[in-house]
Amino acid sequence: MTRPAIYGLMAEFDSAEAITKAAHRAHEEGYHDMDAYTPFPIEEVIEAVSPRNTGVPFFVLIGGVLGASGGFFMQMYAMTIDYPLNIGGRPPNITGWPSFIPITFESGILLAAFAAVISLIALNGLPMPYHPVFNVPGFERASQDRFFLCIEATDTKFDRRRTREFLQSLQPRQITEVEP
Amino acid sequence: MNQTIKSPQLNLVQLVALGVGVVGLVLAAAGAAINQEQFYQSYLFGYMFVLAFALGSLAFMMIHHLSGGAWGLAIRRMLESATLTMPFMALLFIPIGLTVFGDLATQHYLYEWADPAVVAQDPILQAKQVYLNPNFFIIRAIIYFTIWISWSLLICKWSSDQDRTGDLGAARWMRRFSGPGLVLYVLTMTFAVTDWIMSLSPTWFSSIFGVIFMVGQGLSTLALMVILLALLAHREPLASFVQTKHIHDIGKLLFGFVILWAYVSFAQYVIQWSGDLAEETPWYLVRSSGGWQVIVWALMLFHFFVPFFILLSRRLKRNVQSLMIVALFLIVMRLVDLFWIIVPEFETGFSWLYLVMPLGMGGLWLALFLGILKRRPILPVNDPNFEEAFLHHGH
Amino acid sequence: MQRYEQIEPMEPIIGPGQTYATITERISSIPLTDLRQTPRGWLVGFAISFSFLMLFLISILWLFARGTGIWGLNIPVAWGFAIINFVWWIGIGHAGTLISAVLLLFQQSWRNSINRFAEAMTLFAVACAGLFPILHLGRPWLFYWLIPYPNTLGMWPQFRSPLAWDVFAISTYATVSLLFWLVGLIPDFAILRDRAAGKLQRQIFGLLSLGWRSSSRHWHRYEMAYLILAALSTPLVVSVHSIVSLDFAVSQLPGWHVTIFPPYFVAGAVFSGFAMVLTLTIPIRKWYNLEDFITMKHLDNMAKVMLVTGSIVFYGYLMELFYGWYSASAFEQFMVLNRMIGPYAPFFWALIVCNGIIPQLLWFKFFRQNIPFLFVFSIIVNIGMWLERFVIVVISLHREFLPSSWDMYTPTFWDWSLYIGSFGLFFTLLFLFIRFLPMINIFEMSMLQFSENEKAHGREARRVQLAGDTPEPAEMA
Repeated sequence: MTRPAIYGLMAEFDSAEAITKAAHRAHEEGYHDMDAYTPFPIEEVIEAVSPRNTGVPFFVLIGGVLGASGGFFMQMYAMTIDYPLNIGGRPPNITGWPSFIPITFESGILLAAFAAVISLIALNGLPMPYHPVFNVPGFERASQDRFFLCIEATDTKFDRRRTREFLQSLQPRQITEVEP
Repeated sequence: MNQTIKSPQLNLVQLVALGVGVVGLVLAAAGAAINQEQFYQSYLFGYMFVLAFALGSLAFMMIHHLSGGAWGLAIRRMLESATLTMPFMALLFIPIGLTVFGDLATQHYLYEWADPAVVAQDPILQAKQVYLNPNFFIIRAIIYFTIWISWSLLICKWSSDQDRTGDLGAARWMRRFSGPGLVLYVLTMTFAVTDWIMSLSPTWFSSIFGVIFMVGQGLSTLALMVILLALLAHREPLASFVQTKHIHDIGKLLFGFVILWAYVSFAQYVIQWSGDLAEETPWYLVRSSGGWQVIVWALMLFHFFVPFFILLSRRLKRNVQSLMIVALFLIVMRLVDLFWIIVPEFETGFSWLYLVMPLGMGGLWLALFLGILKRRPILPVNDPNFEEAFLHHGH
Repeated sequence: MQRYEQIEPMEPIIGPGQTYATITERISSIPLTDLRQTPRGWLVGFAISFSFLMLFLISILWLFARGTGIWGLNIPVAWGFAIINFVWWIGIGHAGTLISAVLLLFQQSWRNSINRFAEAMTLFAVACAGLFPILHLGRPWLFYWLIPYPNTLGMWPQFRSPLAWDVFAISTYATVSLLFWLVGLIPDFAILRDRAAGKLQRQIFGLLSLGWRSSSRHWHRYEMAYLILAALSTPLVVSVHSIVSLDFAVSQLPGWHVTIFPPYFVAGAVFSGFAMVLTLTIPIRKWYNLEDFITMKHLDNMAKVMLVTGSIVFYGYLMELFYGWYSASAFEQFMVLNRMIGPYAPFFWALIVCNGIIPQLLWFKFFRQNIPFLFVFSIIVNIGMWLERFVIVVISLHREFLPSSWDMYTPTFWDWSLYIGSFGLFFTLLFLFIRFLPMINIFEMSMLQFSENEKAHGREARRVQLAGDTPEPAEMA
């Protein structure tokens, strides 16, 4: 199979209702490599085009556990091994744990939050200043009040003619071939 | 539409609860004959455990009337039925009230400050006598119960009116009374806990203590609601209304209260531990030595860490059956927590009565509560928010 | 549904007649305005704020030159304005995260139009707050000693001290709030990029948006990450003011060593934060004609939150007094008396009036929906919350255990100038924000509009269905 010379076919819709219907139809039709471009997240569209797990919670859990345990053991090391000091009668050993809880908590949250943001950006492949879909005329309204559905050429079912016919059946405003 | 719930499971639970209650009653009577001191001490422990469900329900009921929310409509009748047991709880309080008078006071099974001989030797207790004296103690208890009973009866009455007539005024009255009701709940709870539990160790004080108990009551109540939903949610008329998202909301609340419990408990601990003051630390010293430290670890592990990590799962919070297991577990931990707060104050050691009392009293209460629940329509179908909450499936 | 409306008329969250396009246009036009067309009012406001910022810098300069002796501090009152202002500012910085995170978790969609603004306010308030303890260090230029890092001194920060906890709490809070805010801004930067007229504007916003292309796969992760950040921020926001309260509570001083402090400080922080949000949004919604986005419903809801948190705060004051007396400890009881009839008693009673009595008016809808009242009220609460910290810090310290070391505390000119100057920092940042960034979350407003439409459709469908179906229960009876 030769790789088609385009990125995919992009259909433009007027309303959130239309894109929801279109995404469902495309999903039922068996397309996988597709993406919708909407000014705001629409749950049903997301379910149709991006059914897999996001992967974010996993990294957050790792970040949180690493942060909390790192914070706790840093304090334990500093206050009981490296430089044990009896301050205000708080024992310089494990029984002084209550005073280590606040920092443990904070460092856990800090790393978990960083994990959330970094995994969001990295898993989404951002920053990405150039992307083929930006070539579509009128695409700047995808962030404002227009709704786009793009079936990508990498999809096994993708066929320039038949996919275009399918998209046409969804009654979009227009269909564009996306240059790679 | 105005259906009551019919469930053979529920009847069975009620029957078993009644059986446990009656057996408990007999055993408790036997216990009282053998050892009065132990009877009263375990009685207080059992009482606080059971009271939590009724009072927590009262609080959630009023919060629901103010905040709205579909989850509240799903459990509103359960909350109401639990608050309607309040007169029964007032009745059960009588033995505790009796301990501050006469012979029982001089034995000071529960409250040292009620014994004139002890007070005569203790300048701190003398200073507190304005507040901690038998008569005022009883007057305050009467005030608390008057408030709790009248609020629960009033709101439940309007709720029934709403069922019958669909009257709009009822909803307005429930809202109007819930705000002041919550204020009164917080104040009465604070002082009730000060009277009944904090004054067991009359020199100790902590201003967050009432809040700790309120959070505990919230947790007990939510756990009970989860169990009830697990038993009943698949039956009509609940089945056609209760959706996964309502279960999820209640699961999230349960999760929140687990965290909140850890927060308030740790706040009190870290402040008194760091302060290391002679008035305060003995309270914790007693509770972290002589075997009690095992319970401290158990509480940290099983009242917080284990439920916390389990409840992190979104899938679990949306499945009422697995949520029920966590809820049952949390109710057991509530018992352990109250045991750790109340019992170390007594020097009599462990007794089988500490098991009989919460079970027996809880059994009787549960039988009564389920009886009330079965008699009333299970859903407030005439609530003005009802349609919006349940019949609107889109989003 | 008519029945619902009879009980509580549904106030709209978005004004009538708005569409995705008008929402986007209205909000994004403010940052996209050409520099030369900056409104004059903005310039005047910015100039005034900036001059106060200069006062702030001068006060800091003088402090660096002369040391903390220029303040009214003494022994026993070694914590004065710097700590009061620190706690006050950090308290104000709590509403942002509360609105963004807690209300998101509770699915309160009305938060959408005020969260961006409140988050920005949080960041600026935290910036002001963070400076005060550093300036109070005595040798502020060595502040980095507070951070644990391997050093030639072979020393660690004192991790058992709540002041070291503060360092972690405040810096974590500032960082996570900033992340939360920036993540929320990414899609809006994309909107600004797509709407920008000039090439430079487009490039700047293009860079800031990281190439965001509103793809559903991106939205999927975005929503997940945003929800997780909210879930992390909620306990974080509670922990921050709890830790601030522990600065006081882990000591042994009567009036500081109070176990109710953590929850009641958190409630107080939310209370003061919402007060500041009201103080700022009431004029801004008017100046920028944003009444359709920040509606009466928002003001009413914020007033309700303030009623709840204000009542918790009042409960805290009463419990402090009651347990101070109940403790039967001579020092605790003296603290209670000293608050009520001591030399600073007017401050205490003013506090009770500002934070205890006046907020109770919010039980009535008349006051909750009265904009001039709310504005005045929010300022009263701001003052009240400042008084609260004054009462806690100064009254407890100035007459401590040993009567021989009692003293009075009088702030100096430099105390006041630093405090007033910090408003300069706050408002300078705020003015820059409302001029150059979208102060309302655009995509969330569109989303809100979408869900409101859906709800209206649902209601309409239900009404149609009911008409052909059974009558409503009310009519049956």
